[in-house]
Amino acid sequence: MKTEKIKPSVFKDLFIKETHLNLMNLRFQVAFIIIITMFVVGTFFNIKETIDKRDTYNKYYSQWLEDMKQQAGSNSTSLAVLYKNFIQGPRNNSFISDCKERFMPDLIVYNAYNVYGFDVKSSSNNPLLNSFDEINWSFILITVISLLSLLLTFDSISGEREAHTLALCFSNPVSRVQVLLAKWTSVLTVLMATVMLGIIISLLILVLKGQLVLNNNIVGSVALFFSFALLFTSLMSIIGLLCSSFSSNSNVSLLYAISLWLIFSIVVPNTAVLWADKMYPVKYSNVVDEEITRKHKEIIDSYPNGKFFSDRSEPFHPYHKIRATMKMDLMRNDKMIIDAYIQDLRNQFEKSRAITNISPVSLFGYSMEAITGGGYLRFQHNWEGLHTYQDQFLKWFKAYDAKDPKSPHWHNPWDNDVTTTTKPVKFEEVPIYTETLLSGSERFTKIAFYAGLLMIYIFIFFYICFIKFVKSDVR
Amino acid sequence: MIWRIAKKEFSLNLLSRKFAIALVLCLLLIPVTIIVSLDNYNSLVRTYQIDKERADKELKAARVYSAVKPILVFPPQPLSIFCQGVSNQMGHSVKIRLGEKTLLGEGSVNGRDNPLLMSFFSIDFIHVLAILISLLGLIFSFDLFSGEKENGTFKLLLSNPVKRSTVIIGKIVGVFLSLAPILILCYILSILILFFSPKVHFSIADWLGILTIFVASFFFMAFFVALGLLVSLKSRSSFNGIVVSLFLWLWFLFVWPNISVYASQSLVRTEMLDQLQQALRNCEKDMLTKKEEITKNLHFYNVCWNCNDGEDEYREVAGSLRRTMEEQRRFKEQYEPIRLAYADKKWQLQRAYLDNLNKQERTARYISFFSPSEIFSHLGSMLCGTSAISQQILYERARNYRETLVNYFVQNKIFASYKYFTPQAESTFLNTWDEQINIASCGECKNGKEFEEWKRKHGGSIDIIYRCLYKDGILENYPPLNISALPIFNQYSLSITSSFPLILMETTVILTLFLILLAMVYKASILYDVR
Repeated sequence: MKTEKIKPSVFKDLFIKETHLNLMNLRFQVAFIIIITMFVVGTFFNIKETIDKRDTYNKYYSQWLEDMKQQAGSNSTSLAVLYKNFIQGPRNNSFISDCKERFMPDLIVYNAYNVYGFDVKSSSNNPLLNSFDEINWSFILITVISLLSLLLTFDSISGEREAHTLALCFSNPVSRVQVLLAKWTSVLTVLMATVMLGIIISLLILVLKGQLVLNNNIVGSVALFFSFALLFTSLMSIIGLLCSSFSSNSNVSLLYAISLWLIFSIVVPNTAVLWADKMYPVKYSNVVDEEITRKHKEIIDSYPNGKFFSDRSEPFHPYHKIRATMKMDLMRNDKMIIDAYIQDLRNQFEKSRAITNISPVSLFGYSMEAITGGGYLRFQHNWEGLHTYQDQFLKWFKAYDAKDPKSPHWHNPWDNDVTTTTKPVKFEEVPIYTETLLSGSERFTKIAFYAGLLMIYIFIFFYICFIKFVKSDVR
Repeated sequence: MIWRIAKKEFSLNLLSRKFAIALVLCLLLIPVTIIVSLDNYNSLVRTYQIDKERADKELKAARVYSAVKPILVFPPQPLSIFCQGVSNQMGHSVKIRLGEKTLLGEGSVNGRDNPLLMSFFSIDFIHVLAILISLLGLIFSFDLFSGEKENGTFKLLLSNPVKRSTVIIGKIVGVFLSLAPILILCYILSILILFFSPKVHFSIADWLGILTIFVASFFFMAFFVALGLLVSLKSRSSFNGIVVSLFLWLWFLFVWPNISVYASQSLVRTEMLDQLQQALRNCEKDMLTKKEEITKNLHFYNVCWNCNDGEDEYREVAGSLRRTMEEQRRFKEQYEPIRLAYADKKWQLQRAYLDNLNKQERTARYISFFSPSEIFSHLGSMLCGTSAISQQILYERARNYRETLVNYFVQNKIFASYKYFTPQAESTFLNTWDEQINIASCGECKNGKEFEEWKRKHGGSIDIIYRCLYKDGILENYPPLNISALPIFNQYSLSITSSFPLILMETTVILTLFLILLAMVYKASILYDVR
């Protein structure tokens, strides 16, 4: 009876002792300085970078609109058939995470008749620079906090075992779970308090510099980021405790911890390409090209002579109709092959990414996409959005074309020809694709998935650590 | 005495759990890295072969000079398995155009077909080695002094008639002796894997490069051993020592490289490639008005009987009337020099863009010199021919080749010749439209008048002129051009000797840092309080 009454206070005492020890520790003090410095420096760089990027992008985009306007003012068919590039602009919450967007497809090619493909344009990237990660909140978590939570915990059991204080501790009426929990929660508290401070400083800088308006969206993302950071830090520190409980020598548990860190943050993410190639192979692009060329030849051969005839002075020339139908046929054929290929590529990517989920570090990186609505999710959103838009654009063009009595209404997806209306059009009437934010429901399932996975990992590691700790010999 | 202390350290380390784990870590990481890089290299080679074959075929199939647009495909560097550098961020081929100079590589980036996979970074040998040996250097040296002090054996050691410097040097040599086998094993393992892979062939120059990297990695390791020693001498407890050294490790290897590049992006502003392209198009507008002026004075009769058009003003005609051919020839003669002039004009814009990129790269490189591991990887990429500088050398060569080609065209007056756009011999040109109709309709329509009549009768159909094949008008019937006199590009490979002057700066910086560190270690050890 008596022991049960003491229990909570023992936990409290242990917690206070551990926290005190952590705070007084040199390694925490150094870590504190590193983390806060990185938050501050990262935020300043981010502000400069974002302003530059936004400025450059706006310049590019206004020039692009200008070009479109010119096209619309001269000929509506050329506006419709011209290949247009949609390039993703900078995101306003990139201070949380860049989601490796510089290496994600950010360019989608389309015209009124089809969405043709995507590419990693990385147009603002300097190809001469080594690839790098931007210094933002998720980078600090992924690189610094992950290692720190290991460094703060790797000797909390093995070190006490070496100093023989663990045996002393157990001689008190305290359960082993409580000791473990106290160690875990104190490290978490100390680290998360630092991260919280960093986040607040970073937000303050952003707001004071006038770069950020705290609306619901941003506050939601920040809150989500913090919860994920908490989950991630819990996981990494429980892994550190696990390493600590596996060895009686803190020297060795340090090496265990660092080896695990290297595997999680270097080996797993960097070998994804190998798995992708070996486990989910896709057709080579030159094979697809050959297939397309072959089909092209077949289709072209199946049309009668004179199919390439063109006479701009005579829109209703019957040969124009043949050419228009042929080109439409070719386009549909291309679309069929390429869409299937793109689906394969996306499957390959998604599946190999699923494999890298075994590393908590990668997993945390992916969860940032759901939180900020960036990265692959953003590309997916735009890809689908552009397909919807292209339908609208085509409908609009067909309706506009139908109004022109001088046009034969023979739709040709590629040629800037006279078989559809050549009248200019007011640019204001033309539908233009604008990117929309990801809806909450699109993100929610992903967020739930990643959070669930992180919690499962925490549970598994905690369980192993607990078993190991309970059964361990403290001598 | 030095030798005895070194031997003691060596045997102590060899038996420790630390050594075993380090060995396992190397045995796991190095092969995985090499296999990933090798896989990458193999796909690069595959892409290279396909591209090269296609380029050769295209060039050999050219029937007219305007189709001669050689594509230079640069083979992947075998040493890129060791260090990728920036070679994977640019395409490996360059198309020589008359209307525009080469800026950077084109074509498929990375040798990977799936652009989505670019978001998975792949590390290379140099990076993994830098991570591993710096880590091991620190872990094996952090308790060299503080550990012995904690045990109390240091006092005992110094009570013997040995000089402090002897002890220090002995200890350093000992650590070196224990780490050297691991380092050598890393190299042997990777070379063994590469030795048994069929697609990799190293030249003597490549071996020389590997040897230089090997030597450099010893210095790199020594740097971190010295750093670990210094921290060990300065810190009270050995665990504080290791944690501080690990923070330094984290900072040098994972934080600073990113900060340096990120900072350089903030410091030097570059424009988007799309903006450059917009500017180039603007520049071309002027040129296009000149083109219109030229075509206004010329009258193209029946322009396309059988013709192909393509980018960079490629045009191939056959079977057209003599006057059309003549107009075409005069057009090319006047327009091509204008395009060449505009290529130079556009190059001003391109060069400004490129200069900015280079400036940014230089800034990033200089900032990164604060991290020894970055110096090491820069050195590696220079030696492997995958650094930004070595890539630029290749593009510069491609631009020079374009000049040679242009000179050849100008000297031989190719722009003014019929051969520039038609494979047909001048003597076989048709003179009249009637003649053309006659041949094409198998004599059913004798002249243009009859053709117009036929057309009217058949509701605008022009089927009649597809009745008979006009043999001289079919491009596919002509043999390819004899291009044996064309200047050939053959400077595909980078010689190792060209990269030695480049690495001079990196070597000096790393050696200076090392010497400074060594002096600090020596001073700290002399002043070290063993109590």
